[in-house]
Amino acid sequence: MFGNRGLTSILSGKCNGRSIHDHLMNGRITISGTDENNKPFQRIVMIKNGEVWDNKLQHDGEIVHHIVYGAFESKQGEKGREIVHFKKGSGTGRHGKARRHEEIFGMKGVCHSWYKNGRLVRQKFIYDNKKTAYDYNAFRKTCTIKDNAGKILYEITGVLNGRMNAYLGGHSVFHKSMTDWFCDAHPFVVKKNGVIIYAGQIKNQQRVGKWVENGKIFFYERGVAIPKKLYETPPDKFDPLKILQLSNAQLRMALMAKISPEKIVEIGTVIHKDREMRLYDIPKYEVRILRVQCPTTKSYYFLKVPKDSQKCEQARQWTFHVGTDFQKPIKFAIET
Amino acid sequence: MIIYEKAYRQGEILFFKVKKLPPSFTYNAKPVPSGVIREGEKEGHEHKVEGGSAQLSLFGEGDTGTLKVEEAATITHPEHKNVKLPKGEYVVKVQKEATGKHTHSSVKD
Repeated sequence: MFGNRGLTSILSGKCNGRSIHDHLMNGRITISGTDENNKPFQRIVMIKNGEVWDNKLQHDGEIVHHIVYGAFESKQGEKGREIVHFKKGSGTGRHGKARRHEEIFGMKGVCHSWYKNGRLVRQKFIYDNKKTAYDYNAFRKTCTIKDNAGKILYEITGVLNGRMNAYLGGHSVFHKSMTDWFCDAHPFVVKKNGVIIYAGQIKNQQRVGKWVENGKIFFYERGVAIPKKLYETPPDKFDPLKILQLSNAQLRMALMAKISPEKIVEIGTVIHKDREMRLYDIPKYEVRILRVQCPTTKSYYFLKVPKDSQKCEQARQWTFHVGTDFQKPIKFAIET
Repeated sequence: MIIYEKAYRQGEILFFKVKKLPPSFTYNAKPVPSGVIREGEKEGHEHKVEGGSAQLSLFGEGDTGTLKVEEAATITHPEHKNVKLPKGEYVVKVQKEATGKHTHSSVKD
């Protein structure tokens, strides 16, 4: 409803398809009504110089969520970088402090969140009995989560995923399921009673390295789960031909990446090159291998193409059914 | 032969926008209400049709099918960027690989 740079529009669900578009530079907007659960609510939004700097949601007169936009000042302390000052009303919509009443692990409390450049830099949850559930500082990347009796529930290491949460309500990260607690690109660990129950890392949207899920250990290479023995096998012990003979293209890609894509020239020769593509011939192998690059992940895939393939693009077009279902080479409007 | 207007690709899944679906493609095609074109090797790594009122049907080994897009649809996959398909009828195919026995199989992802 509200853009992070001031009020841009109010889209009503019950206005016969009409919408109200308006621009407000300075002032206050109050919206009162009932939500989808028939609960009375009031939303109060303050605008300064065309930017929302205060956004409050009340249910039955009680503040459920309140976010104040502003700028943070931080400094390097003994325990790492810390926020020392918050100047409200000077924000751009990407910096702010939020307060929300909610429940985590079945216990009610208030979640306080600090956002800088849209990233969660600190989050603190205080139960209704005034006990602290956790105090997460993104500069330190570790914290302990306790219940409202002070008993440790989890010990975590990693960068919590609070992206966009500044605009969507200042929810506790632990309000979500465990698989959504962390930012993908950084390694993370969750311990319960001193035992790792969930750990891993994602690169290019693909799981990599050792993962622990529900206490079980898995090994990933470029997003593909592989047996521990394969994961721990030194790259020089792999036979490239055996990898290329695998039926699964994703596994072929993952294992060739592990041993280095260049290893293929030890068993075959390059017949043709075309940009990132390579066409290989491997003696005594009944197909040729076309190396192509995924436009999104940049991973190299090794596709099996007919033995009589001569050019990379011709072989690539063959994989798109050119020659059987299509007469002319295919030009894609979009390739991802 | 299939005559198409525009082609789109997300990984090994190919979409060909056609003026009219070939009659052979409408026989034995089973509707797929979930919109999942192909389950990935990894759990949750599926190519999926989302949004709009798109109707997906697949037949054979599930490597060929049709997609009717009423408004606009988005093809999603966790490792690939989304592909937006405009309104229209599409032939869906999977990239193929050689087996070396004068046959081919679909790329298994």
